[in-house]
Amino acid sequence: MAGYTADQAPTSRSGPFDRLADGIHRGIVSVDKAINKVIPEEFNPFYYLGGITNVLWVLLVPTGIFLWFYYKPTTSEAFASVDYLTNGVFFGNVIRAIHRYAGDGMIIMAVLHMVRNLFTDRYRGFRDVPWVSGVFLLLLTGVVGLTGYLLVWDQRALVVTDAIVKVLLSLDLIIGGLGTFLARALLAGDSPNNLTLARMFFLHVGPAVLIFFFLWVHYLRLHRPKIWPPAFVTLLTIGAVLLVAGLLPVEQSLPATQPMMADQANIFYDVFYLWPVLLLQSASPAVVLGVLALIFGALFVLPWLPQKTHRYVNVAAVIPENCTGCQLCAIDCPFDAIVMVAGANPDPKRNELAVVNDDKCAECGICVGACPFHAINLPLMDEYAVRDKVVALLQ
Amino acid sequence: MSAVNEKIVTENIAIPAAINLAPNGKPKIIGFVCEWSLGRNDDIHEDGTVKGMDHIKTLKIPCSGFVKTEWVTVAFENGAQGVFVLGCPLGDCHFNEGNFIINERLEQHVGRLTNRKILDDKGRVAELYLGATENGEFFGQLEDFTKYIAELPPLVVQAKKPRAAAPKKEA
Repeated sequence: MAGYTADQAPTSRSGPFDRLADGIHRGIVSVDKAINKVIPEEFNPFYYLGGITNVLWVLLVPTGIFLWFYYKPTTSEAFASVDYLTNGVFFGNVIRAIHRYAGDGMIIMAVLHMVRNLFTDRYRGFRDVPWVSGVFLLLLTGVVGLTGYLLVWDQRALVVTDAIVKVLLSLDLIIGGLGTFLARALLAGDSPNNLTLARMFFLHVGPAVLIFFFLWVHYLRLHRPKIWPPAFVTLLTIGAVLLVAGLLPVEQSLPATQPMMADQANIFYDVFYLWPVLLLQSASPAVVLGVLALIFGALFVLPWLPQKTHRYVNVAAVIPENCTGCQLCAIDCPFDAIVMVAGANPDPKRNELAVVNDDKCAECGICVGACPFHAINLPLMDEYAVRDKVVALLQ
Repeated sequence: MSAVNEKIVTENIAIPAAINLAPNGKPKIIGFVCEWSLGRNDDIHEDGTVKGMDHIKTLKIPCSGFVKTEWVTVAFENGAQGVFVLGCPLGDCHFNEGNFIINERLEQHVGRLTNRKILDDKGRVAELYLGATENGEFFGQLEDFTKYIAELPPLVVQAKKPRAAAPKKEA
């Protein structure tokens, strides 16, 4: 037991970065406490950031399908079709605004979800798969949002297309010809033409479908994932989106087919998705590409950066002779790490045997507390040793 | 090892359970502390004593859900006047559900102990749910708990022998 606390306990927190992380953690906890004083803790929206992201995603899919019925992905007709669905279709402007603001909300909530899990130390060890799939989800959400702004094909879309092409061309510095190839593949030619928006449309919908796949991976290691928040939080989220969509209609711009606006400063940029475009106004394309590569590269390797992680040192071990096959541990395990294997029990009358999946085991010991038959144990924290320690502490 | 453990337990019971008070004159209290809720802070000495509260001995555990309800009974049989379990705030468990699970288990187990007249007061088992940086709350709640326990009459629990059928085999 002494070895357990010395080697596998959370890393000691003394450096300047640790103090900063502790400060952010303290802030998160105090915000939680303040909300818990006003509303019951089971309704605290900060405990359901991932679920809120999912609510917004579910809001985006049907509104996107609605917009798709009216959208024509050609450079000549795209703006006119968007204009028609905004001004000609009953409630079209509200549906479009919901699609727009739910998208903004989704990336805000996803980033908050990520920051919270990062600073409460829930990103490494057995949580590497949820973390990496989450970074994929963030990347896909960013791509979907960025291409969404191109589909309108207004003046802003031209600027954004220009920015994407510039950033892609800067890839030529690393591998000659790669950037040119990608830019030509994106635009279906050297400059925007009638095929360009079909490709943008695919890049808007294709990654959106991939989001479902990565959501499945995201939930894979959880027994009871909090996919959907409580009704109060769900209604609050949907209500907030509807309120913003009703009060703030989506801004109108001039079509891309007209000459560029003289005053570029009047173009409204959505800072949550288009911040790389804003950054490009004051930095070179290679710098923007470097910043993006650095952010996502760091996020992808983050779970393996800290030295000490809980993994494969204290995996729960089943004692087959004691296992009665009652399933209590399998039901209580929050990580779905215990499966009941039929016919594996050494006692033929008992049939089922609990088997631990090492890759999913979080080494938390909830199964030890569940078992009344002393049939499952943490090797480094033996239950009889703990009982002896309790007795010894009372002498 | 089981036989050895059983012996330790019974030997302890053989000692008259008059020593209910710690050397500092306060009731003995045992705590199970989740290492993710306050385990990172320096509020607890190496030997498990809470700083400034010598009557409270704690055990560091990986998650509040790890606590076997059996250990609560063992603690009361060995002269503890109160037991507390410290976990992360409800809804914010590091292992997602551990604190909800221990909440349910303790509710059932303490109800059972009081029904069997082993415990005189359900308040002898406390559950604290605190985030990793709430040191002040931790000491305040422990002081309230100590005061509450001190007002109750001393608890003497006679263990039934044997407490449970000896397990077939151990790790």
